[in-house]
Amino acid sequence: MRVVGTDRKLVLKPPKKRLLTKRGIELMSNTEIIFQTPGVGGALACVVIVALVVCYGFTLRWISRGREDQTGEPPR
Amino acid sequence: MSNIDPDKMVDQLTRPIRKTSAFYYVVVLALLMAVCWGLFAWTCQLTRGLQVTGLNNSVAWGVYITNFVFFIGISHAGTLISAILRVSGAEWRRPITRAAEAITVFALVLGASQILFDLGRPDRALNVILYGPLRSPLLWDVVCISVYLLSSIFYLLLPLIPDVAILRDQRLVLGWRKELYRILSFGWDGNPEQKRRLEKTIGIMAVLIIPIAVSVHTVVSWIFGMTIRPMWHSTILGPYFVVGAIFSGIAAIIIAMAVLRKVYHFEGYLKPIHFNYLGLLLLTMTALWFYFTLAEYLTIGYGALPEEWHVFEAKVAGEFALMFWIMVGSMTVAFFLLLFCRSKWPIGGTVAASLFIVVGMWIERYTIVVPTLVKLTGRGYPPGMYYPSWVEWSITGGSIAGFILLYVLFVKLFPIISIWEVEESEEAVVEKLANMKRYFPCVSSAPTES
Repeated sequence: MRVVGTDRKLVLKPPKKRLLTKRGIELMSNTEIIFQTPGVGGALACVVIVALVVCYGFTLRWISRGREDQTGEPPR
Repeated sequence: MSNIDPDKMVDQLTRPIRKTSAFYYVVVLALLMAVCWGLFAWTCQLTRGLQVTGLNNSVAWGVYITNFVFFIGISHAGTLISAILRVSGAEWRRPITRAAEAITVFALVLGASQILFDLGRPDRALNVILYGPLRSPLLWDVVCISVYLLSSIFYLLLPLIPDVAILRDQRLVLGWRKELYRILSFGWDGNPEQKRRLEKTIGIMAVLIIPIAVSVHTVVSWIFGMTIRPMWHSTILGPYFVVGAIFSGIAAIIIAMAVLRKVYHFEGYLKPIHFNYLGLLLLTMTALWFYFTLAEYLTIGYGALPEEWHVFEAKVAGEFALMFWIMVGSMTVAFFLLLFCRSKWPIGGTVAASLFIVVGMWIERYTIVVPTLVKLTGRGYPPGMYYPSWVEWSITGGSIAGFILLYVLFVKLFPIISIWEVEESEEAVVEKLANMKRYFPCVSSAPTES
């Protein structure tokens, strides 16, 4: 039960239904969990590496398309 | 440089690709044999386990990790130096950037492979990705090295595109090479829009690669620095490693340039002035290295904390003293060579100093990695000892040979001096002189405009 209301009137209200328990919220809010969970770092590493490969790939394509954009001819 | 006819220049710079001497085959064969010997030693290690090495429970990091730090340091040669010179508008960089950028890529590949040798079970390298928590410096290292390797390959590839297009259009190049050049030229025909886009991308990459390169060696140092061990747990280790990396990197470039100049007769492109300028950079880095080394050792020696004193004493006056003083001696000789012989004998002086530096830096890496583990007593660790075995030396030799082999094969496939960048050097001179007019307002007319 939690106490809500103003200075003049205090009302007792039943707790709201939550998806996670108080302990669960505590755990989730603890950033250390993210740092400690095995695999999270690896997954992030993979995301960074894949993003970089895609980015570099598109840049090469952009350079290659310079010919097409200027002359209308596709690159050889 | 501007007096050379463009066609003649293309002919000279692509000659190593078109013509192969018997000496080249001998070198490749010798290097292949050394690589095979290294692979044989690795096979022995894989079949019989790490017991064939000098590594043990106390000293789990030895020659392989020394090589790892050394190669990652060498890898700072290219990309970082090339990027710094590009960003700072140093026009003399033009003939040397590619030779430097190639060093980066191959040194990174060989450096990363040392971790696989050290693991004993290479398949377990995947565990870093599968189970690595975000707080692990090992994972940071994997990310940084992967990002640096990808970026360095990209940064090497970008200025290669126009040169590869030149090779693609040559009639003498046939077969699979022609196909390779067609793919790697990315439809380049040198129109102004492509050129604008390429130069813009190279400019952005040159800026981006500097923090990436610095982060790599900083994170490599944190593998040691984040552990609470004597003479590793130090805030200075990050910058100390970065300075050492740039230092050994420049030395590696100078050696590579001297070999290329001699073997392929690039005297018209790699001139004494290039060696002199790089020698000046090297001299600055030597002074910085001495400053960092003094700061590190004096602080620890003066403080004389019991745990650190064991390691310090072993390095300076104990079982590692010979290696330590060879390292200090090498750097001192290099410093004086650069100071007194650089301007008189720019090539001989800088190359000799670079050889001393490369050897000295390998020893420095060894004296960082091993003594701390050997002398780590008093916390329940058994007294350590470490004597590298023939397997470790063979794999080290094979790795060095592998690095040179990759470089030699690269020179056979691609122009090691950037043709288009050297071709544009005349325009660069005009631009530079026009800029100089802006620096010195008393000069009424630019000399180039006449």
